Amino acid sequence: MAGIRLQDVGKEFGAHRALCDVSFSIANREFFVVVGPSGCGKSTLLRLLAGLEQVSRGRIFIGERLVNDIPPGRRNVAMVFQNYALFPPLTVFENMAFGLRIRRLPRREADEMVLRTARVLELDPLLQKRPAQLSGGQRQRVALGRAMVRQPEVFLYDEPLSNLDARLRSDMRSELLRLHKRARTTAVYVTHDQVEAMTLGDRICVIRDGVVQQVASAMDVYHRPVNLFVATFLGAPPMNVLPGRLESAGEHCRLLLDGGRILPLTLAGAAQAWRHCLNRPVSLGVRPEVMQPASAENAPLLQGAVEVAEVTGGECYVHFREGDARLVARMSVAHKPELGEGVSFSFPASGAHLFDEHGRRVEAQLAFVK
Amino acid sequence: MNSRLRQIAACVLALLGGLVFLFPLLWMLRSSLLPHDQVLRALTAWRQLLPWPPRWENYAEVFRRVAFARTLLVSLGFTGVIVVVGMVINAACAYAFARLRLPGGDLLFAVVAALIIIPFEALALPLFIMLGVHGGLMNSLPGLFLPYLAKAFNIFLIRQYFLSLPAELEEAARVEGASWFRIFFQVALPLAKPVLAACAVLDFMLHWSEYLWPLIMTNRPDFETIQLGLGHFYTLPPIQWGGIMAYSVMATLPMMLVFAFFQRYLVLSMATAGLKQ
Amino acid sequence: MQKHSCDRLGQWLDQRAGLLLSLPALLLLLAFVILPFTMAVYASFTNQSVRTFMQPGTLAYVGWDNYRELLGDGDFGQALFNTMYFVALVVPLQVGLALALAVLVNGAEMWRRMLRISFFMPVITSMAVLAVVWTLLFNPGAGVFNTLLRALQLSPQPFLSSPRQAMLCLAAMSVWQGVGFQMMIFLAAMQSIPPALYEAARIEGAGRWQCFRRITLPMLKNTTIFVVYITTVFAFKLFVQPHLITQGGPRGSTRTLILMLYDEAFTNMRYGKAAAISVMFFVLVLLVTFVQRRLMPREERL
Repeated sequence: MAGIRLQDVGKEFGAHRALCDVSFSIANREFFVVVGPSGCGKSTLLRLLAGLEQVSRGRIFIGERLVNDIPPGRRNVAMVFQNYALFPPLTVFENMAFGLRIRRLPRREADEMVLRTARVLELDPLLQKRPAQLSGGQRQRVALGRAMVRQPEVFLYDEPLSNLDARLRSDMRSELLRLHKRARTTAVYVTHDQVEAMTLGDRICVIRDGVVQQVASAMDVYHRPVNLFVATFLGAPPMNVLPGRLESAGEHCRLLLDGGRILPLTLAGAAQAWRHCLNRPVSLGVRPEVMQPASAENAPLLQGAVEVAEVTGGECYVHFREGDARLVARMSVAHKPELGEGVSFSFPASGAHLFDEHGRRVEAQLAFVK
Repeated sequence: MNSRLRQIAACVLALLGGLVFLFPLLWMLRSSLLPHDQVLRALTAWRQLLPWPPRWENYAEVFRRVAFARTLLVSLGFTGVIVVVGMVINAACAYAFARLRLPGGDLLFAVVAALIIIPFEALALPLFIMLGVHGGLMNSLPGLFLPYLAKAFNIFLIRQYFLSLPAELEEAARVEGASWFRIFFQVALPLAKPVLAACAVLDFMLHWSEYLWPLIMTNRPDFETIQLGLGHFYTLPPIQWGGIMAYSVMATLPMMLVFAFFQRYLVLSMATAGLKQ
Repeated sequence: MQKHSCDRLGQWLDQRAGLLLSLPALLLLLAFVILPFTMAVYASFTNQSVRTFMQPGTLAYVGWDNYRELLGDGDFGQALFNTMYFVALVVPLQVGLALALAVLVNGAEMWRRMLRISFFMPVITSMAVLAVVWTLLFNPGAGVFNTLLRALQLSPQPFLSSPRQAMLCLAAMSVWQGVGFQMMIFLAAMQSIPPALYEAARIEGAGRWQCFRRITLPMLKNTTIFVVYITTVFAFKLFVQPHLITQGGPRGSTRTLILMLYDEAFTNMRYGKAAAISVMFFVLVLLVTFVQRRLMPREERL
């Protein structure tokens, strides 16, 4: 059992910088999810951990062992690939036994290990089949089985569910969690799917253009995103962003939205955290699900005409425009407005996020002035 | 109904067209079953087109007059070693260029690719001096196959194929702890089957009909390839045309067999066929 | 302990896998392509004969003499002319015919597949066999062709024994033998054209001829350049047919470069001169390659 530690890891492919100064630690037995848009370097990160690529800079530790120069087969890691990577000429059994055969384990012992894993994954009836005869979901389980058989210290998952259809994907997701709880092994899971990231990860690492943005629990990443990128990347539909300018107004502050609307605010919390934003451009972030239709006790803060109303079963996402900003609000289907109808929304100040002119999160408690 | 009739008509027409095109080969088959003196006799009646009764004796005579079986073995050995051993050597090199770290790999590969355009005919003489005169390899299998084992063109072609394959399988094997050698033989080589089969078919065709190099490298009638053997048999007195044609048919059969078995790889091999000599 | 050192060796080998896997082929190429090529170039500037090659005391540097002799030599001129003549006959005929046949057999119907196989049959018959068979067909007395001509009340032809007709006969036979190969390359290229293109064209109202002219032909441009190139190089190498059928005759009318190369080396034992022919032959192929590369777009080049 082992944790993972990265120290200032960098990787370049020729002139292209894939990863830049990546440092973090993954605890033993943690399920660690790396998420980011395609081409952000998350797969490269996984391949560095596997040893399929060599770091250009920095150090990688698995357990207490520096693994920079250790070939993949000796790192005691297992990897599950996006396209399963099962060896076509081998049976399911031999696919799962592949790593054990290479390690020259006694045949009896190896067979026993394969059978035990197959039972856990309910693969017993498939053992003599070849990959081409299996369905996508079955192949996925075999790939998992091959990784589990060796009881490695670390599991590496490279978007393992992205080739499955939606239904199977959610089944496999819970299956993965079950297996992880059972095996109690460190896992690093790369995905571009935020639902997977939120549901699977003990902690989530968000990467953009080779730079780590935030490493935190799913709740923290969602509720306390460190910057605008993280804020808008996680969550669907994404967080609404209202650009504006923060001005001091005697006792409290006021936020001048670009559309001309003025929101009177008080900012609490350590003053040095937010004072530098005064009289500068800022952005206010509001998730669609915290928006509520304006009412007597909730004065309207944002309003506009409905451009699109998407119904997703019990809920409905209303797209409208306030000034130049295109905004989305979630509401119950029962209150679905007509196209072109005027709508007005309010939101609690505690549900809003403030970002400075560089898009960084401003740590302060917001409250509206009554 | 009408379309069905048209289809049958098309088939019949195509059959006739094919027969006309294949006329020289059919003529060879016919002549191989005629008594010697009738091969060159002018036709006077339609029924003379068919060799009836067939004279199978022509085939037996070939075996009786020359060491045909031995000649066949030489040809099979020569082409077989090139196709089988050469394939592994070239595929290994192609794999190294495609996937492995090689000092100066890009430059080295550019050199290999440039070698493709050197025609074998320009090398035949110095090769003869090296292998035949100084190497003492006249009338031997190594003398025949050595220059053909490594082929720049095959290396080029197989490398392209490896590059077009996703590396995931090989990476999976790598993470499982397999060495590169095991990955090459167990994972990569089976994956490259289509391109290897294509190269094998083309190489077999090429070397089975090879003429110039065996002509240079052999000078004993008991060690010659089947093409050379035909050339000798053709001038071996007494000239018996029926026997010559029987020899020709037997020289062609192995290629036909290979063609029948590997037909499905042929279109691929054609799609990738290049500057084969 | 022993297991450990075994592991170390395995790791050491594994790190050098690239070199070890490529070494056999690279060494063979060095020994059997690069070395002999260098030898040929070097020898073309000496007076060496085959039997005395590399024996001390007999070697003499003769500069450009071999080349000068060749260029002033009527025989070489004739061999070059014959080769070019053959190329000029074969290339347009074979490529054009191959394209036409490919169009004819492109499709899944039974009869097209039957034709495809029959057109390919001569390709998988060796040139030596065909040379013997066609000698029989061309026989002036009882050969099939003259029998046919007589039956049609036409005068029989001398074919291979006429200096004017011999090369034409070889060309006809070579086109017939090789056309199936080029046809298959065209066919493979045609089958890789996405059917959606034709469907789109049909919806736009294009007929069969229009589809061929506006889609097939342009899509086959690179393939055609490539096929012309390999056909040309193949044709330059003409050897087996004249060697077996005409022995270069009658009156040198089918003597080709490679045939001359063979004669100089093995009949006249003049290695230096033969090497000079080798080098000039290589330069010819190089020129053709150069032209082909200029015509091909960069990404399609070999």
